Amino acid sequence: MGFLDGLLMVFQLHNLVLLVLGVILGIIVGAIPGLTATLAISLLLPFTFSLEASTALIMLIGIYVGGIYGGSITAILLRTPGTPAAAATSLDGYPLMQKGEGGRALGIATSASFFGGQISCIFLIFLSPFISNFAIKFSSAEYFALAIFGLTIIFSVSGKYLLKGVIAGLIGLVINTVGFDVIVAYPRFTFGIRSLMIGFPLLPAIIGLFALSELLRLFEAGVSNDDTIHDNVGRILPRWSDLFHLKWVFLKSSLIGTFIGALPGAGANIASFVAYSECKRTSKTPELFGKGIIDGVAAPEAANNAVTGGALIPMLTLGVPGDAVTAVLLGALTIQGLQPGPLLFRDNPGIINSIFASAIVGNFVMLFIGLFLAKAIAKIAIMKKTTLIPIIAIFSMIGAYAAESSLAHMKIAVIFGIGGYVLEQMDFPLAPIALSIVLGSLAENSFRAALIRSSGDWRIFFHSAISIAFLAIAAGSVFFALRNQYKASKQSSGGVGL
Amino acid sequence: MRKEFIKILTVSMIILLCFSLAGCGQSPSSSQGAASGSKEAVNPGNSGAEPAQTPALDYPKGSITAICPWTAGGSSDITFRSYLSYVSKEIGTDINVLNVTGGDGSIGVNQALGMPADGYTMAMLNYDILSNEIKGITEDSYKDFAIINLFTLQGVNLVVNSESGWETFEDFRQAALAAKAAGKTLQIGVNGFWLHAAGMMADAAGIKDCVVFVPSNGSSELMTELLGKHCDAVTTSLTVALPHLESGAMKILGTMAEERMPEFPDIPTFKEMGYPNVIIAGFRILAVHKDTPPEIVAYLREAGKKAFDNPEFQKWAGDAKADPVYMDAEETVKYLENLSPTVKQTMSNLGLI
Repeated sequence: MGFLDGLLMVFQLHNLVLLVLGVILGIIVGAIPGLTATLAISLLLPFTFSLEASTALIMLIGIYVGGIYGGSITAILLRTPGTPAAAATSLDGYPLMQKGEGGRALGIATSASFFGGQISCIFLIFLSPFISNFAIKFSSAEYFALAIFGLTIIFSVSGKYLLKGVIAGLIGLVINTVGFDVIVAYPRFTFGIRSLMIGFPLLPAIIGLFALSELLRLFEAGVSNDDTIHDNVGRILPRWSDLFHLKWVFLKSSLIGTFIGALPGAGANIASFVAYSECKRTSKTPELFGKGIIDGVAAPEAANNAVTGGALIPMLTLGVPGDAVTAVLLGALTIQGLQPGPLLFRDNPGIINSIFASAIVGNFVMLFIGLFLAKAIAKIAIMKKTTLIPIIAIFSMIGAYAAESSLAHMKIAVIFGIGGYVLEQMDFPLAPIALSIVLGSLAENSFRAALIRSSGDWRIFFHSAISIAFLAIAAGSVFFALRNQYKASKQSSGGVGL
Repeated sequence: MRKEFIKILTVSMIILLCFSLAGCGQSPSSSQGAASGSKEAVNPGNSGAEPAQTPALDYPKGSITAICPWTAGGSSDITFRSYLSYVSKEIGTDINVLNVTGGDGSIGVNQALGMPADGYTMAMLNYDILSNEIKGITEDSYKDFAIINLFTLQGVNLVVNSESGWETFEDFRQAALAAKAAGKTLQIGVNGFWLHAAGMMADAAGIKDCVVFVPSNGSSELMTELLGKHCDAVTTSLTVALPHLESGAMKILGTMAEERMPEFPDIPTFKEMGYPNVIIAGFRILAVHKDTPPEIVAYLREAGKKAFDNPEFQKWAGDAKADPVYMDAEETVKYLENLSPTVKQTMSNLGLI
């Protein structure tokens, strides 16, 4: 009954209008590189002080749902992930675009986001206590195992240049060590240069690696006045056959996203890469990944939108945010005078129900707007090269600058752009670099925290079934990747040409 | 040709939108201020106080930028923005918050000092202003600022899982000593400067060798660490722990504040328990560059006080458990002068310097 009350609340005219506005705003902000859902919600927070608690939350949840999805649009069309969570989407989304199947990729991304969002809502509504009980089993050793499991994707996204992929991954890990070491709160590898103290933040690094390097590549290909990069984007509305083919990818990635979302130490960025990795690992055609396969778009998109429902689980049940966005939402609840956590269900069931309902309705809004708006937005990508290249350049630089109004961030984007271009020319894949920047600090910090905890005893990583399971799957996928590589090279040349 | 033109137009509109959003990135309170500003135009005394304008002072002429050295949306950021919105009402101009993060707050502080000392750049100073200087990460010090005032002071508590069976801090201390005798350690989850609080407490109680301090990625992670019994205790503020204290899942063994907390009058302070030096708190201070003209500083101090006393701010801060505490510039400097050697001693005990 309570849930119906929530639905009625959401369908009140002013709430519905705010929800739709929130979703649209979220999609726009998400699609613009550099502006994330976290930022959008933080900015909007002061305006919601004066609103009623449930109305404020309905709108904020709309932004959350839209913002996570929005990043995929530019990731697919321009290889410029709007949010770091969409970086994995561009791995297959952009190649699809280049093949003239951008519309198909957008349609899949939209429906995957919708599916992921709804699955996670179902978990949120029915299995919250169960999931949060499982989430608190995660401590440093388990987080380390999860990060390692995620990092093994390097072996699967590297294609035929396995060794180069591993090197690229290591470059990413090294990049990660520059800046401020949070465990001892001391600068590392900054060589006394103050601007290096911020390290290489994820957002400008991703923008540089993917968007700016692509820009340089487009330049290199030569520009003539009537050149368009893509002929068309094709139909957006996904085909039933595609959706049917992807049903297990949808389901599995949604589960991965929901669960990773529920962990306070990991969010949408990590979820999308882990889902991509898992999808490729279990695929019958792993060799097609990275060349433009719809599975590779569906998996990260279902997962990163499933994070929305997942991240709300610990927020509502434990008062602990599951990711950066829910941390801000938690602030919003507190400002409204509500105490998130175990007592919220008892004291304010109305709020809980309106959160549930707005998440579900918000996903429907996102689906419709996504499918209709995508057609209009997609037209951008069929512009002339001479128009498009400056646009990408401006977008990228604004994106790098926007979050902190920082010139240092722009410089970082440029450095990563040039570095990424050079590496790509030398056949180094860029995905492993992005991946190790996303996962590196989680891996390192949880590794060190675990060893501090155990006073240096390595066996801590094998104390719980969770970490053993993750590490075993990780070891297994490395083993199979190496074996396949060995077999392939033996067949082709008879030598071990990594 | 025409079609192409329309496309370009569309895209430039999008970019324009993007610019305006980026602009919002620095100025959420600006638009909010604008909204309330228009209200003020109709009814200048709507906050109950006439703007504290003295006729001689030609300030502020435009909007003010306030640097928050922490990420947007964190508790420091939210509290800072909220307080500034009331300061903004007092001085009748917009205050735009700019988040400049990194280097444990030192980057933002440094950027604030690099701006002209004309009163148009404010900064928030936190505990790290002391520890970063002591560590030698930066040469910037609170002495480079003219303090406007301190507006929150958040005590640190030792929190344990209720299932631990510990009722008092003495129980915890005995358990730690027993663990040591058995060749084990107790684990205290820490995050940021709460490490100093935990170190200070362990040192004073003589259990430094019986505990390890496990770092965590954030205060919320500390809660799951404790709920999942991965840690024996955590040091944290009241804000994050409150729901679990109310539900009975967690328990405070002692607070490192000067006096007992109004919310939990039964919880003793460490001072009462015989550890008079275990007093530590996170603070938030509003400041401007020390070379700012004294009449502007005086004007801002008056506005800062009025903003703090604004019942709306008091209500907000109470609801948000932001621990509002006011100290004027003199008291704040004295407070920091007293705290500084303690911080240094704690850090040296922890082996951080």
